[in-house]
Amino acid sequence: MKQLLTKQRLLAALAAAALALGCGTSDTIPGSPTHDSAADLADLQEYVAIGNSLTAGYQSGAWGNPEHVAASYPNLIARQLGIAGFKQVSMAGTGLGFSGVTPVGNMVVNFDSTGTAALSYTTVDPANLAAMAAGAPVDFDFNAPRNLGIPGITLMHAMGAPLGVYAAGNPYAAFYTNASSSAKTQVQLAAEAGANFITCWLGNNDVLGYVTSGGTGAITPSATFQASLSGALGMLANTAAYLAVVNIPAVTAIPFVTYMNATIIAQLDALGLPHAVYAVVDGATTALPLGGGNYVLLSAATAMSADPTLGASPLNPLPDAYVLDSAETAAAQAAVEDFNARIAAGVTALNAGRDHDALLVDMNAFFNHVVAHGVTYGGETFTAQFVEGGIFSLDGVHPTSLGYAIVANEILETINAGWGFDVELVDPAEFIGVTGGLGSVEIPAELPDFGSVVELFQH
Amino acid sequence: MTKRVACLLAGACLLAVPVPRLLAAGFAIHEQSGVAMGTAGAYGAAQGAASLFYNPAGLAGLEGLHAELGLNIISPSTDFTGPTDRPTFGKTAMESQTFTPVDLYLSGRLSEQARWGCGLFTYMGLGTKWADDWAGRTVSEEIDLKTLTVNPALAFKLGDKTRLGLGLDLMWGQALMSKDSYTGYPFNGYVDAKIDGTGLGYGWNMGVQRQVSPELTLGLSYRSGMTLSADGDATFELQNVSNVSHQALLDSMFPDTPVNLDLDIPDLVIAAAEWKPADLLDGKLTWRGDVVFTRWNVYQSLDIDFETNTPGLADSHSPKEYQNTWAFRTGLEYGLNDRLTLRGGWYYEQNAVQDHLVEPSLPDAERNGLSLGASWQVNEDLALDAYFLQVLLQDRVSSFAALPGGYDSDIPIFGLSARKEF
Repeated sequence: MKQLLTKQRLLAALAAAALALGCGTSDTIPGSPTHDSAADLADLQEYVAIGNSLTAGYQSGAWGNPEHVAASYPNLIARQLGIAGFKQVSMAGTGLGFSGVTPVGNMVVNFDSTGTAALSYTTVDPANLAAMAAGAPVDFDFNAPRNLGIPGITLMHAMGAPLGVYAAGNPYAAFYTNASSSAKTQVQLAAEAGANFITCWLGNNDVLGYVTSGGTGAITPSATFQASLSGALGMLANTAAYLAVVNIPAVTAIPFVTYMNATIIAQLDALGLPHAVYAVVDGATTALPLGGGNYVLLSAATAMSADPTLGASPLNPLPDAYVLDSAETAAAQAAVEDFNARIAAGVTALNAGRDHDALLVDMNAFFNHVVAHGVTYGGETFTAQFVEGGIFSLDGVHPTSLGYAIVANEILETINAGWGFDVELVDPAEFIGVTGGLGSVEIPAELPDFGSVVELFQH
Repeated sequence: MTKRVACLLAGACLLAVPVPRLLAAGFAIHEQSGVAMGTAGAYGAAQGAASLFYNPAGLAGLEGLHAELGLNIISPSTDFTGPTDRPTFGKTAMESQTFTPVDLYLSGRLSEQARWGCGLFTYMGLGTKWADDWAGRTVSEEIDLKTLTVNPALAFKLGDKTRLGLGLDLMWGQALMSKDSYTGYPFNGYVDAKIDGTGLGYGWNMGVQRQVSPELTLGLSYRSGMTLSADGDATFELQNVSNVSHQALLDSMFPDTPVNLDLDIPDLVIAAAEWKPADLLDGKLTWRGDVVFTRWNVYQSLDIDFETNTPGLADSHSPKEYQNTWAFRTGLEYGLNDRLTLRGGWYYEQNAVQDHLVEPSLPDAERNGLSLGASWQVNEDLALDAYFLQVLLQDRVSSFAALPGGYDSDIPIFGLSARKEF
């Protein structure tokens, strides 16, 4: 269990990445360079992105690492649009994450002398804590072009929570909070930013927290989601900006959910045991068959490696928060379906009387395709597998830089098709093999406290 | 005699624990007597101790000292199917509760023309409870409205054929409401909000009865509406606290605070007839028919004033927009012999809550009720009554925005009462 990754597998992935790089841009890379009309792209120069950690460029358990946020999808889109001076929060060192309530830098992989890989957090740069405590500077520029992503924010808070209040519960919001913004919500800031192009990717956290907490957290009530969505889309549509709304990808197909089952099953097979763990489900210890919608979450890794009997005996069941049972999986999937139906209907409803239709970016369909088939660049297929798949970063929830490049391209393709632009796509080769933290060889460390990693996903 | 009355009253005060009930449309309760409910609640032109509730003029014809003590056993059930705006949804059963409200009536003679009476009963009440984590948790988890009305009255004979009754209503009420508020922080998802308050309201009632022929009596009674002004406390409890900064934030957003709220109680009008055909079945048959009007449109909204407001806690305004209702109640009573009397009845009542406002704290619906009842005259002074009433509510489809879905309810009620003449 300690060997979450082997050096061999990682090296194989890195070698493949290097190979892909060596091959250069192949014809399978979408969007070969084209010459855009400057007049067209001028319509999109005042770009504002709102959203949560995915928009902010969160990666490997932290936000703000300059290398990571440079690969945020809004920054990549801005780059492809030729926007000069796209602004986003960037921090010192390895950014800012939280292990429980302890501030940390992003996660990295370490190898010990035997070649065993382990994940650990880096140390947080004190400058980031000082910046968080200070809040946004007085002259913070909220105007387009800007990334306004706030890790952890739900649609309800994006629409309804003034930053000054909200920042007390989400330290990441402090980076945007000053006297001029404290009474405003994230959506309001976007609507007032003078944007002519807005991307909005919200709603993930309205169901993701329920999943990463093993069903002990909450899914936003449907009616609350609808009210917040209607409010947010209405406010954004009032700006007359080009508006692209991204929907919610399947939250139960991320490595945080899917990774552990296979690892545990391999161990059970080696012992000739049936594929089941003991876990507390709805207050009762249950033999939970692995598969069929039942998952042991990545958050269980630390505790399971520290205590080999955890989950192996009815006397030592896995806590409820470490497992997602089939009913919880079904509830999360139903919520994604429900929220996406509301998002689709909301976007369609905006279009009456607008010069250019609001667009729905169906990230859910795209992600499902990636989960089923992977994506291929330069002959190399990248998948939704934990770390080694190349798309998901070390926290098992957020993409790698390569993953964000793929996201940016999906949005750009929708924009090109929907509004008739011809924006050049990001060349993913740039990000292959540079997934954050991978390959750094430092002093061997223990596994990080994955239990408290759960906590950070609310950010 | 007076001492016995005092004992009875004191005993009744202990017994008559106010209980929530979910019976008539809205949150009104027409079930106030084991005799009256045998004929589905048609009693406005009848004469008995329970006339105190239905029409106080009915006391004027009573001789001697009368007491009636009744117990009702009520087990409402509701299934909710929804929320129907979700891709997948299911059926949720309301948690089962049994309510056992008690009613007590006393009346006696003051003079040849005048009678006194005093009633203790619950004619407004509501009790619904849903599981803590159910789909409608942000709409309602529990509501428990208890009231107890003390109703002293006087009744007079005006000549041989006309009777008049007048009374005062003093209503004590307690309201408990509980639901969850979503915080927007998935890991500390819900704040459990509870409001508990008590208050008093004042009103009056009056009624007339007229014997238009030896066989036919007509009655008309009115019970005034009132406002129950309640003061109490709102308390907020965070669930699944996993983050100290969230705890601090949510504590500041949801401070425990005094609250006050006004609950509007509707006026009630009953027009009634009682017919005892002398030539039919040896005059042993009695027909009763009541038309009941409830002025529910006084209940336009439920407004809760939190003394402390924060960005998370604004005063609450819930539109109710109830509609006035009509009910038709009728039944037959047949004296089988000197000891046994049989009753049967039917009623129909409109619903008070509009489709787009039906929610789980009161899954109101148009309804029919079928009743059977019997009395056994134990001796000259004592009679025992029993009834069974099956209330059949129509399936209700709610378009309430926060929780659209279907409600399927039914309410069986048993009642027992004892009547003593002193």
